[in-house]
Amino acid sequence: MRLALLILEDERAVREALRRDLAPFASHIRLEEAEDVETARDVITEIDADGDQLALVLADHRLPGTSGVDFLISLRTDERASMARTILVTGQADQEDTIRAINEAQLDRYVAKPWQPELLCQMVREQLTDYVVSRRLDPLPHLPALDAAAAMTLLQDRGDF
Amino acid sequence: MTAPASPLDGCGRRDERNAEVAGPPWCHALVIAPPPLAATIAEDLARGLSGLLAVTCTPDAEAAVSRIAAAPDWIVPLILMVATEVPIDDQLRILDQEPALRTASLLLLTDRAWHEDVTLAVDQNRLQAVIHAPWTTGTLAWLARAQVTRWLGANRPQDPQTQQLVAPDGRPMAPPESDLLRLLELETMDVATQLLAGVERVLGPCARLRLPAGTRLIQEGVDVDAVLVVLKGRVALDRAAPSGDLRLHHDSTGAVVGLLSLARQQRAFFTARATTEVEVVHLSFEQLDRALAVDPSLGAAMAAVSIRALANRLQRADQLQIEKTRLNQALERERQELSRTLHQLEQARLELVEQARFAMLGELAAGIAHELNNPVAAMLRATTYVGEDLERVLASHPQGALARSVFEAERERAPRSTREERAIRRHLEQALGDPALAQRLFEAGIEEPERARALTADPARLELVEAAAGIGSALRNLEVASRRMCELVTSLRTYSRPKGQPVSGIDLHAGIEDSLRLIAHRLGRVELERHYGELPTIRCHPGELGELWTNLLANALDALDETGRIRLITDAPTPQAVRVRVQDNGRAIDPAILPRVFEPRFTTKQGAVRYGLGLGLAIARRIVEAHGGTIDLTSATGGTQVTVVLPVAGPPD
Amino acid sequence: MTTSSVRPRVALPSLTLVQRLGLLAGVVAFIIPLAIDIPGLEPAGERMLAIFLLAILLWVTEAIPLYATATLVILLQVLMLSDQALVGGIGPLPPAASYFAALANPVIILFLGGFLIADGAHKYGLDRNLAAVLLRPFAGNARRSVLGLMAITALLSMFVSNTATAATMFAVVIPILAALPTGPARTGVALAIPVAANVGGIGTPVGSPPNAIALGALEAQGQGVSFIGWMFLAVPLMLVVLLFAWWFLTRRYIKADTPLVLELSANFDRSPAAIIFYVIAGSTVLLWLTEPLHGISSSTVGFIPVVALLATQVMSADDLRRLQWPVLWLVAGGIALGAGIGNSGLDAWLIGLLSWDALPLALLLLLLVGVSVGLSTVISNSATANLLVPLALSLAIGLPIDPTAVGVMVALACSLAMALPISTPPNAVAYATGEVPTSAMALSGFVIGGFGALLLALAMPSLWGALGLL
Repeated sequence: MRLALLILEDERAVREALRRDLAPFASHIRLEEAEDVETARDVITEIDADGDQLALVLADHRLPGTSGVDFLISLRTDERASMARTILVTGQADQEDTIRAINEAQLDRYVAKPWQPELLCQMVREQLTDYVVSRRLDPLPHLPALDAAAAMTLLQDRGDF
Repeated sequence: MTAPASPLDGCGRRDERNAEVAGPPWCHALVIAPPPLAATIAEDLARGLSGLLAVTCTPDAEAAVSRIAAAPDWIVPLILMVATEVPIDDQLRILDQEPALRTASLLLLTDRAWHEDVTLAVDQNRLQAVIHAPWTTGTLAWLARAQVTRWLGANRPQDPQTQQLVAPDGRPMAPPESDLLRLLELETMDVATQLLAGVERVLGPCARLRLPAGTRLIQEGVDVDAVLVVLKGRVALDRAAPSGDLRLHHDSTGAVVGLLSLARQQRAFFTARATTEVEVVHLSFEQLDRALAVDPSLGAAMAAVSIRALANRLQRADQLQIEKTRLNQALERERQELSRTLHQLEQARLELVEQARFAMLGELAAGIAHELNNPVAAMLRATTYVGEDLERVLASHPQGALARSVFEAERERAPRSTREERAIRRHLEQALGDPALAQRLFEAGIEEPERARALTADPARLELVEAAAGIGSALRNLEVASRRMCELVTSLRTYSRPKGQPVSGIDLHAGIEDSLRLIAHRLGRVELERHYGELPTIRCHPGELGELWTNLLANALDALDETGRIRLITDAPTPQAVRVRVQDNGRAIDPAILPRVFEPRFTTKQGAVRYGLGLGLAIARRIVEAHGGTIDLTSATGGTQVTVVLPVAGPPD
Repeated sequence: MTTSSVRPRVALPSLTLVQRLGLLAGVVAFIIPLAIDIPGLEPAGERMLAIFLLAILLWVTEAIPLYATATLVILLQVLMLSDQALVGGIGPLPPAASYFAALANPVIILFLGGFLIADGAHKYGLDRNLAAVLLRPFAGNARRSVLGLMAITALLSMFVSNTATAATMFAVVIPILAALPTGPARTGVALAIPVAANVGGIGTPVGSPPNAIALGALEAQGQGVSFIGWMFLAVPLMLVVLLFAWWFLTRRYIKADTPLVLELSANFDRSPAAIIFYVIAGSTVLLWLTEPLHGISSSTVGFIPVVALLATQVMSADDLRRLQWPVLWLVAGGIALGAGIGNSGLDAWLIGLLSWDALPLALLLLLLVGVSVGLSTVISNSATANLLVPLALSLAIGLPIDPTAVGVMVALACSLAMALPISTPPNAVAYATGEVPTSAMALSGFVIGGFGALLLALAMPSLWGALGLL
């Protein structure tokens, strides 16, 4: 089982920039991209079919036809992705949208464009770790993508076999 | 004078014959009475009217009408009607069928104590006198003569017969019999002179006082104990008010000043002031009292003077009341007018504020655009230079050819949907069996499994390929981004670009077609319908209008998906205006933002500057308003329509 | 996390091919001894053989989780070899309760105490703070620092599970590793921790489950070993192997001038609860070490902190719930299996299969240790111990050596297997950090484990004999 990270961003250049900045994670988790919500749902289906888990979504706020916030809200009712951590990557979410994202989509983090790559990576790492911790997954297969020191807590009560 | 009362049923046969008493054959007094009484009345009337009218008797109103109808040249100044069972008003209505009878003076002879059937007669001013029966012989004749005289003076003043009866001013030649009425017919000054003459008869000669203009004859608030008989000159009545003296009466003052206050035994209500030089006689309360007591006939003169003064004053008051009402109405009208104007002013002010806001935004936008222009241009050039120099560097690299091909491929890579990209990556994953490696290779632009395998075997080459691909895609994104900024800067500059002189004789359709050609690449599979009507050529800024059409078309395209329909409709609703409508059948605009669609806001979608609901419509509005036209946008499920109306005459100067 | 979100789906893991084969083979292996009359084996022995074969296949292939196999062993014993057997008629059988009793075997109770203290140490930050304090004398030089790191890891591992020790130490060390340049130094440090954790686990009965399994089996044979007794047997080996491992790892991976600074700040919890915990934990360890003086068995001592910590609410029901029950049940399954093999006469039959007398004792011990290390390299240490300890103890019956030595030897050998990431959980943690390539782990595991195995098989029995421990 691999952890999957979904980048939902309609603008190619931004998507590519995100992908490149998140490249350090590529060898340890599954990086997926979608330019619209429909594709995003396909990706989720594919992730699920492969036995992987969607752990984190980086969603743009403005998307064709819908808003990233609406997508994140809809995720909460999708049993395949309801536990996924969520980061809103945006340049222009207004207060109302942000409030909705936090209250209804249980948004975990908010990243303003332009982002700092180190901070973004650190945030992704934290969120992946939180996902693993909240689902009590075995952190070892994903350890390089996680905050290792924090993930070690999960091993404390594991025991020797 | 005291003739025995004639019984009402006294005459009959003479009436049967329609006996006519002497007088001009076409001038008749009509007696409407039962036959016996009619004869008596006719006899009495004839006495007073001899030489003036013939008297004709009819038994009732119908008979009178048919009688008159039979003699169309008759003049009927007088009708004498005897009260019968038939209500007076009803009879009057019958009489009114004949125009000759409508103007006649009506005398009613009745023996009843009450009449409730004369409302119409009184209301229409048709009843001239009510005479009680039995009457004193001669009364009818006297009354009838007076009425006829008055009627003739009013209606037939030119008849020679009339001129004998009536004075040139239309009043009957014979003066009233009573002192009072006789005096009332005199000029005010004459009455005053007579009064003064009477007073002087009692008191001896009185001194004439000559006073200059401006002299106060009586003062407001001061006890009045004398009257002033004004023999010459004019006097005005003023009353002090907080805003200065208020002139209430001028010509209505009357000949005897102070009379009213004297009558009410109190302080003067007005200040009486001479407005010209006046000649007065001063009479104290006691002098006046003595004169009236000694010669009671002076009372009539006194009363006449007073009535004259009162009537003048009352008339003046009535005029003032009417004037006040009229002024109030005018005031109310003006008030409403003012309120309307105020509202319009407020609207205008709001519009001005709005315009000022947009103008300021425009200036700000233009300023930013100006500042951004140079760095953006430098950036755009720099991307080209980096690409060129990299190619030169690679030329000397041992693996240069490979790196260069990868670099160029990645730099030129056309956008693909993430779905396609994922499919390719999956394919690669399956071929390599290593998702992480497949991802890495895919990002380096390596999509063919054979090539991927070959590169995997040679990590150094793979590193190079990755780096070259990285630079390629970064450069491509940089270029796209700077181009977008360029577009945005251009849009911003356009937003407040100063314009030259408008050009006449422009064909709108040609301009629209130019714009369509410019955005042809974006039309794709969108269906375009042209419904061009006959348009006059117009005066305009053709370049700006081109921009307008481009913005509106781009806006419509944004609302559509890959397919859809845009309809262009042109017509001339009036000879002075042309109208262009751009309709699309795409997504409706959110009603919440509909009121703000013309405000300048920025939107970007899918990597390109889209005018959408952003700057595009704001520019469109500015252009249309600069042309003195109007732009409207309606949007509902099923599509959006933008309507632009432009004056043929072009922008206002 | 939230109330409004839907409940995530529980996905069952899909079985690998090996697991499917293991299930199939297990069922076949289970049926054969029941279906075929095996000469020289009583019906009870045949039934036990069936259970044993099933357990071997399930534990080796991990077709079902290890602890599930352990509970299955107990259930099958109850259903086939107790007075509640579904099919009787094979003579008198022990009561079912005697099998269930494995779940509360004194050794399990001892472990329970050990676990609760270990969890408490983590809960009150004692492990980290002890590490910080104990590391200080070793500061200054990279190699000395690594020695300190290994010493502390081993010390913690003696009382805390190897996995938890490794996790604690890695949590401390990973930020320090990140500051080191990529290369051998990182590998060396990342290897030092699991090696020390594995080796440290042999030091006390509560250090590692194989120890408990051996203890349980020995006690079943009436050959109990005290807490301090076990330490006398194991600690010398532990120290030697640890020193050797340090020497090997530092020479190979860590240059003396490596800028490695292992300085941690200690921040002891001084809350009343923490102080109570320190007192209880210290007293318990003290009582374990002084068993010869007071004679209270280590299991009984182990139960004291359970009562004391729960009564004082220093540890809560939540902490109790979080204990490593699967490990306890795995150990219980092993104890039940060992008891069953002994009781059913299977042991005698198994030993009778080969004439062990033909081999020299040293070679035999070497073979035993080798098999233990080899098997536990590829499967779980505890499962290996579960399988091999009963066999080894049976073997010892006919050998001129103390069965205690054999039992302890197998248990220690199981802990010396560390050549692969899957060999032990600490190895898996080290591997998962991405700092240790498999090759490096295999090499160090082979060298250190091999050194330890040789020492254990060839030198320890003599040493134990010489010291008069047996």
